[in-house]
Amino acid sequence: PLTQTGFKILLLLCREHPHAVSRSALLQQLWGSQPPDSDALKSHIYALRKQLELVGAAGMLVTIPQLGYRLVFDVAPPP
Amino acid sequence: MSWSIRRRLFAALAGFTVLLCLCYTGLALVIAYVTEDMLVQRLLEREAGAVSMRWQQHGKLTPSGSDLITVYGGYLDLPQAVRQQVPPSAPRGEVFTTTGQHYHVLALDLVAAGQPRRSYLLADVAPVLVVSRLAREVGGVVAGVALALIALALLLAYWLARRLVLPLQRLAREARLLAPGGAVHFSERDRSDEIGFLALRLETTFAELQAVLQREQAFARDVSHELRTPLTLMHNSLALAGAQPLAADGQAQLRQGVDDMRATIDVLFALARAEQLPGDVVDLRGCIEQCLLRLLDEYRWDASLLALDLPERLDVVGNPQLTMLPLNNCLANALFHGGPACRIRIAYAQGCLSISNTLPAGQPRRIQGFAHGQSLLGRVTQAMRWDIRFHAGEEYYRVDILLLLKP
Repeated sequence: PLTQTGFKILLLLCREHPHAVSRSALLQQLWGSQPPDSDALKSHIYALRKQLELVGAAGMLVTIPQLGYRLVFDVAPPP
Repeated sequence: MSWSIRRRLFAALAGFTVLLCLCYTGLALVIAYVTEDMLVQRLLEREAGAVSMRWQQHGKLTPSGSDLITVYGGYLDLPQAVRQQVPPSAPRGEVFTTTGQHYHVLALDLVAAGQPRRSYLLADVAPVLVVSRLAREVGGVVAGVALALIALALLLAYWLARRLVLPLQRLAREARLLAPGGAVHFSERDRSDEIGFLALRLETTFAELQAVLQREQAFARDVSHELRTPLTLMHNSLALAGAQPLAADGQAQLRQGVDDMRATIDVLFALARAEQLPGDVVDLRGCIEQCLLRLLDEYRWDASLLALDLPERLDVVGNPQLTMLPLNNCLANALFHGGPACRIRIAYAQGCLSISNTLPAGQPRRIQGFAHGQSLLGRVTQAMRWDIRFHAGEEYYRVDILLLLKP
């Protein structure tokens, strides 16, 4: 199941779509002024990506190296 | 010449001193003369009582026991000089003659054979009065001493006025010497009284006024300097658009010019309005990430060419709005001038943020836009008490920003 932190990350990325969200902004939004190290964020992103894989949307969460993350929707219009 | 505050204060103190001296001198003289008159009057009354008692015992008027006092049986017996000034009905009187004599008269009502009879006691007091004689004999010395004391009092008044007004005069002199752009310092600012408060407030107000004037001058200079080039570029693009449809490059240039102008105007207003630019703590790494992500939306550039060597969080003291300008400017110029294949390195070490990019070999260097922005970059970083240095090489360009770190 999607964790609370994973849901928050997904929500933040959706809000900023199609723009990317910086790593610092995610840390700030999730943990405030005293965030844990960036490995915690990577772990949550990894878990979120696994959840997206389960619904066939593995490529939707794109990593921009060292900077942040972006959602990419490649949804075909309904027939 | 208008009177200075020191002269006014001296005049007030001196006038008060002289007035006080004159009042006390006059009061002392009045008290002395009144005391003398009361003493003589008491002597006359005592003698009148003695004469009246002897009249009752012996039935006749007897001479006075004092050689100062003469008893007269009736009004007509009195000396003519006395009768001219004292009417018969007056119970007492004081007479000054032109020959220098001074009389006191007291009427004494007696009863003789059932009939009232008025007698008079006349005292010639001129020989025994001391005040007038004292004034004549030592008046000069007393007046001299009094004048010397008044002169001493005036000297003290002058010294006091000078001492009291000196801080104000110093403040006024320093305020008169203030010049636009000069240092502001009032020597009386450390006093604990109202003058110290006034000096401190003046100093603060003048410094603030100077800062506002400097910002206004810098604003006018920056507007003239920073907006002229993008306006010219936009004007040229529009002129070309009149002759033929604007190509994609031209549109991009026009859009870039508008964006640059908007950012420049925002920063210029922030610089002009801001009273205390530094003071906030800004996470510089977050700003860099945000800035790079925005630029990646605009430029075709592979983010894997980026080398980021920054701590997890880089807290610096600065203005959040102004911090973005140097970052945007440096990174946008790095991408613009370096081209799509350039490598960008952003590193932080020992209070210095370095942004460097590689330049394509063999291509002419395009530095027009970058040079144009350097002046404003310098102003922005200076406003936040940062320092910026540019290093141009043949194959690279590097900008070093010395940051003000969070204490």
